[in-house]
Amino acid sequence: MSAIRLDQVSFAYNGRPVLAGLSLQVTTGERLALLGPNGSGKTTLLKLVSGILIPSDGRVLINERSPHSIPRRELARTIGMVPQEFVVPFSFTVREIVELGRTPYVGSLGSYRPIDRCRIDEAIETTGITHLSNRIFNELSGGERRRVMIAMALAQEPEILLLDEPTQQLDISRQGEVLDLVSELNVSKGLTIVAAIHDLNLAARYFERLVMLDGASVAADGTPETVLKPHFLQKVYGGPIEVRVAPHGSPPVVLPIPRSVAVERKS
Amino acid sequence: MKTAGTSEIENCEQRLPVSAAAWRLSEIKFHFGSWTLMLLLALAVVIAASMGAVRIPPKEIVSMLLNQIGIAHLPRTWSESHETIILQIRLPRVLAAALVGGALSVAGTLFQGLLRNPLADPYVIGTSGGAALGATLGLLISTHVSILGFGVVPTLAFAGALCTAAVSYRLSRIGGRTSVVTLLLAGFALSVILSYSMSLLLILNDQLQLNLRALYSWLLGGISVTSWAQVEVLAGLVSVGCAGAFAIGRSLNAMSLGDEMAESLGIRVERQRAVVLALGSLLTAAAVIGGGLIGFVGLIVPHAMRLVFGPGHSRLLLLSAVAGAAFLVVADLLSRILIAPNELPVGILTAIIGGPIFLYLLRRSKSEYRF
Repeated sequence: MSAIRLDQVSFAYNGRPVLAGLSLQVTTGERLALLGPNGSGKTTLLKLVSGILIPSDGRVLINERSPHSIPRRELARTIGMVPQEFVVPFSFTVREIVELGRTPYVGSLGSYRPIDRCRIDEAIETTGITHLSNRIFNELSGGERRRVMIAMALAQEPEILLLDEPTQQLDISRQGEVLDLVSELNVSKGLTIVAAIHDLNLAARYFERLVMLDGASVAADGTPETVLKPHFLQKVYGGPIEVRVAPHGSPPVVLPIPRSVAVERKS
Repeated sequence: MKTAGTSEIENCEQRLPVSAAAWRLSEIKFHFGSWTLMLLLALAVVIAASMGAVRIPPKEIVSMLLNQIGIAHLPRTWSESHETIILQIRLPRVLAAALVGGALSVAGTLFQGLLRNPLADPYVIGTSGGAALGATLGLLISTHVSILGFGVVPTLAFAGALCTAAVSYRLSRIGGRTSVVTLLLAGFALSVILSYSMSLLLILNDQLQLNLRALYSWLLGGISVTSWAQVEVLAGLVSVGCAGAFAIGRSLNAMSLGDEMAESLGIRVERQRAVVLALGSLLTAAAVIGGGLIGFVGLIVPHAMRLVFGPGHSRLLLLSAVAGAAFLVVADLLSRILIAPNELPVGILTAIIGGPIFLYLLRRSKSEYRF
């Protein structure tokens, strides 16, 4: 069954088209990375899937239903969204942030039931932030904050997890940790994962399926080996790019070619 | 289906991770804090009722109250005049002060939470300007018509406050969405327009100039409730506002993460924002009808509670209600007795007492206050 289906979806911000006639299917339990240059519509696509934006044309289906025909609360129990960054104006503790993930389950008057507290504790444990749970969210490092944001989404008990640049501004080890966590959630809990990622090498290393957005639509869709081709990447990103094929079935490594080297090679 | 068996929940409870233990601790702190504040409020009410031109011992007041509520039937050891003073004069005023203080603090908490702005107070969306202009028009008419026990000045001020809030909201809606920044700025602009319209009226109208002192003291705030009928109206408005506020408190936490996050957590942001604004405006207007424009309470009480108990809104709203009520009861008491038989506008006292307490709390917190 396809968890997410987009049929000929178009979307424009104030008349400027961002996506045009885009079609994509994501099967339940899949782990997919959305790639593409800046402004290629990765974030827009995630927002269309999560129902925050409405397509101007075409249709989005979540478990074969339109997100706008699903009540907001039910949708929030199906899709968890981890944004690039969220600004919290108050000094909420980490636990208080994770608790917010239970919003679609508790009534506004009702307090947290044992099952809610259980899920909150579970989300905290799974993401390895138990030691942080009494700290103030705003005082954490980027990597720690990202984990808390994932924990909040997990407390929603979603079937689909959307992540927008989960590795942005993290050092190399934290990038690995966050993506390991995401992969683990995909494998052990069977969560369908769609992550917008800038870094082609990270995407190739941690994701089975890469979808390259360019020209307001899907430009390539497949395994890292089929998508990461030098000529294709040069066309999409508009610069000299080298792809080194790694041995033993490891994913290819993508590098920009410095101008000095490029000039040397030409002559 | 995502249901967990009881055994799973028990397992979870037995493991009792660190976070859950800390959660219990904060729960205890909250319960201790709220009960202490309620006790302080009760104490403040009794003391405020006992002080005045005639001192009446607190013990007598407690006995009278117990008899009135019907909890006890204590023999009457006090004079009838004392009973009249307490039940007919002082108690309505003291309770009105509590209601107004609670309403302002809850409204302030709602607006600070919704607008995510530390400088937001109950009047932030322009209600003060509308209320002031309404009160001025009331003085101009100066008939003795009373509506639900209230004179024409507080009634028009109430209407002015509500209308301004509605206009601010309408102005900030563009293409079916409300912008928080537009709302803040529209509220500010409206407030300025209306206040200066009031000034214009004052300059042009001779009759108003005779009433300048009355208007000035209304603008500084003062509890003007004198009868039980008025207390009942006030209590009705404030209970509706507070009940609504407590019911939506939790969603303010999710909304503080921004519109898009709140929506992906299952909140219908536009509708919820309209509800919060309506409740906040109702509470503010209720406070205006009972006490004019009392400043500062609605700004500092929520901050003080946040500094001590943390920013979670479902708790914060309750704590602010009780603390604000107790604070205004004390401030109103002082306004009555400091220069007796004359009265000071209570707004002067809320600023002069409340300001330093707030600054102390601000400096006392070990780390930087992050709102």
